[in-house]
Amino acid sequence: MGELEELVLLIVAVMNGQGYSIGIIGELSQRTGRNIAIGAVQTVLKRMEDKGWVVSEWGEATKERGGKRKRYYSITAQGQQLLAQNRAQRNNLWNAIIKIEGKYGTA
Amino acid sequence: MALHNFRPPHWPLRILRWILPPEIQEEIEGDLTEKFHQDVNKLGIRQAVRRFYRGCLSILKLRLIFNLNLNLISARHWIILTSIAALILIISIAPFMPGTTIEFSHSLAQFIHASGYLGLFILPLGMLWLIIEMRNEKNQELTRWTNGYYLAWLTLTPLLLIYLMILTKTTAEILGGSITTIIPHAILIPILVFLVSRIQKLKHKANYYFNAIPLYIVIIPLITIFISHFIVENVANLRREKLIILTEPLITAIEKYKTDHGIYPEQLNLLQQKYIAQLPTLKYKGVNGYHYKTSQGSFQLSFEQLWHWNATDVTMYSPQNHVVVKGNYDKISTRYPNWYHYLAD
Repeated sequence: MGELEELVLLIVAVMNGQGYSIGIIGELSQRTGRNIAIGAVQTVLKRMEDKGWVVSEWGEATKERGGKRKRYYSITAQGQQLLAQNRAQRNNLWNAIIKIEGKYGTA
Repeated sequence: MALHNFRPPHWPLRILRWILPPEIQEEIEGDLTEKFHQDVNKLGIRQAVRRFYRGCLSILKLRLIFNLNLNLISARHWIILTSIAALILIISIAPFMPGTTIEFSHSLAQFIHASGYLGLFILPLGMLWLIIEMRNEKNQELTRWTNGYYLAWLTLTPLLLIYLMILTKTTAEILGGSITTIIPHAILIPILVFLVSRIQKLKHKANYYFNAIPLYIVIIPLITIFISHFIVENVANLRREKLIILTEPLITAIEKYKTDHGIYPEQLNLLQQKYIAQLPTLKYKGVNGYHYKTSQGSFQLSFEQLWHWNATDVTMYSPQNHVVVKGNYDKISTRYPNWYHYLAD
């Protein structure tokens, strides 16, 4: 799983079924300060949908969208499991750093 | 003024509608429009338009565009393509096969190769048409913009114009008495008529079915160029080597004559019966007989074979490396001692 994939999947999970690409871009920008293009988010979302990490459904059409519908993304059980695994791996690494710091002291 | 009164530029969306698969068109168009309205609100119309173009460009990603359905190419299409490739191969190597010279087989091969290179010009449009054909979904309603009608004409028009120019030149040749030049056109004109009739059918294509014409437009030139570059040249090189081997007894006979008489023979006929039973015959299409001449106590033996694009490949033997090149090209050594070849205009 790439870094952008992980970030987008986390945002989809945070938005809890209300995440669509423009919303995800805004949320990502607000929470991490990263600005990404629509094409990049769409590519990641389609790839994650193919892998079964997210599912999507059509939402409402609005005037700002020129009468086009939104597509809302939600995280699947498989996606949640993947995030949990990633988190556990990172926690292990962080724990290892703490142990090293305890043994040799910090610089 | 209400925000939604500002509209994003229309033509990039139109292009995206053409390029993107139908299942993601609505979502992406909506996203781009919503982002445009957000940017108008925050940054003003000029900056929003600039960002809108940038957003459209960001959509042009392989993952989003090339969601091609390769299953559309059926066994029938592969059989047709393989048969066409085999036919091009046979036509291309026919002028280099053993047999009597037939001018027609050489001009037909040249015609096919020239058509292959000509096809390269329409390859990008053909690819665009192929992508659209492979992106449309079954049961999807089609318009002239999505059924490939305009793109098909755009692809074929330059070819038809170039062909008309060639046809004008050929007509003059035919009127001048060169009847064989009519044969490639007799093959090509029905193909063009068939293509035009298929494109006209596209005009009324309202429901989806896979049209394989762009597949052939893309693949046939590539096959032709591959055969022309990698196969025909190797076949011609092989033929040169065969002819060199065939000529070796003649060289031995000339040297024997020199040992007996102290000079090289003035003519090859002088060798017959005593030194060689019969002069080797070069039974290959497009290969002329031997050219033989003596000068300054040495001799030069050569034969010519037709090459690509009306060039002539001259292969020469001279015992003291006295090869004189007439054309604009450098002589090239062969793997046989004292044998060289060069291309003449």
